[in-house]
Amino acid sequence: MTNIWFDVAEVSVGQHWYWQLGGYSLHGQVLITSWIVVAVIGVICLLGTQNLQPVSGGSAATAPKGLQNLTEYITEFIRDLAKTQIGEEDYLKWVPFLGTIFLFIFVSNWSGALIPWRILELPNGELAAPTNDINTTVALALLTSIAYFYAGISKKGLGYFKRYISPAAFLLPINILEDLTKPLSLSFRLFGNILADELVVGVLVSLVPLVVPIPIMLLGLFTSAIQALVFATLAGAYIGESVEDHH
Amino acid sequence: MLLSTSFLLAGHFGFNTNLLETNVLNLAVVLAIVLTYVGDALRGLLANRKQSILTNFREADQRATEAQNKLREAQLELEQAQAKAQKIREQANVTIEQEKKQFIRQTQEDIKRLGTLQQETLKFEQQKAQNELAEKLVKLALQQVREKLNQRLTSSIHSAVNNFQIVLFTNSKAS
Repeated sequence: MTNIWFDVAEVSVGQHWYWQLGGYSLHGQVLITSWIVVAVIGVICLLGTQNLQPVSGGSAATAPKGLQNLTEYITEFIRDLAKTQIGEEDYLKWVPFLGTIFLFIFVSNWSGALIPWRILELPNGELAAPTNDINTTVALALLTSIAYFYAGISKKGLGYFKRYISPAAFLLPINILEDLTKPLSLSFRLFGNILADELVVGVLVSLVPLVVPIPIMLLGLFTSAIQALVFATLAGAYIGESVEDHH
Repeated sequence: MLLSTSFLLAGHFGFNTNLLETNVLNLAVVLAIVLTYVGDALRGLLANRKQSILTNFREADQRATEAQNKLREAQLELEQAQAKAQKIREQANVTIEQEKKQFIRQTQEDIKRLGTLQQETLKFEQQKAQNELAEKLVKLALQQVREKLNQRLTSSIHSAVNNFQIVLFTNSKAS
């Protein structure tokens, strides 16, 4: 009888399948799921854009349908998000970045919540959403930091650094601190949400294997979608903040 | 965290076929729910988008045809106006031609009239000059005759003249 309980009680954190690469230890399971996520996005993109149909003559037969309609809808959604966050003037060249961030996080989160990764057993650790690992989220957050620095400096030159002493010079320490807290909060928010969701589901599954985890899993789907949106929106807001004019 | 036994035993790839451990049943339910509800919502959204694209396209098409119709009407009106302008120009030309002819005719008549008037005036003046000349000549002749008569009139000459005159009269009567 005790064997069953040990079999069911299987929730662990911090177990990784390490790959060694030039003195670095890589989290192999994260890379595998990341590649799968990238492949999924790539395949959908290719399938959606392979046979593009322009609307002609107003006939229903030529309207965008299927995957083309879906990809166009997602593109419009991201473009609108970028426009509201960055502003009419500069938003267009940041649509690809925000789209990449949003789609990668969204597909990662949902893959963790929808794909039965545990069927496949690894030598150590287990497959899960890539955003379940702090390294992924930190990488995404640092990319966002680089992006908004680049956006501000490429637009204003060295004048970008005026924002550190505005509105008053004595706020300099706080303004510098802000640059550190932004990636920190971005990465920890995403990592914490996804990890917490998977842990809650894991614990519930180990306690009550059937039916009870389902509402929590649905809630997890909702929150993970929201987290993707929040990350992309905040990235857009930071970029918009650094390119806006203080005149 | 709760203790786990399986990953301690792991170290190789494999498939976990335990239905409860892999949470496959719950995932299947969740997947079904997602496919049903989220799929429905997504399909609705996409259909809406398609419809709105089509409506926008049709409206744009309609506006284009309307604009073309208006353009055609305007072109028609332009042509009519041009035709009218042409007609008016031709009429004006005809009127101008007519007036020109009339003027020429009138002028010619005037010239003719003036010519005759000039002829008449010339004739009149000539006559007047002739008359004056004749009068002067007669006067002069009579004066000379009187002088001659006053100077050299004797009875013999008087009678000779008388006779001569008588002969002239008789001759003129006979002839």
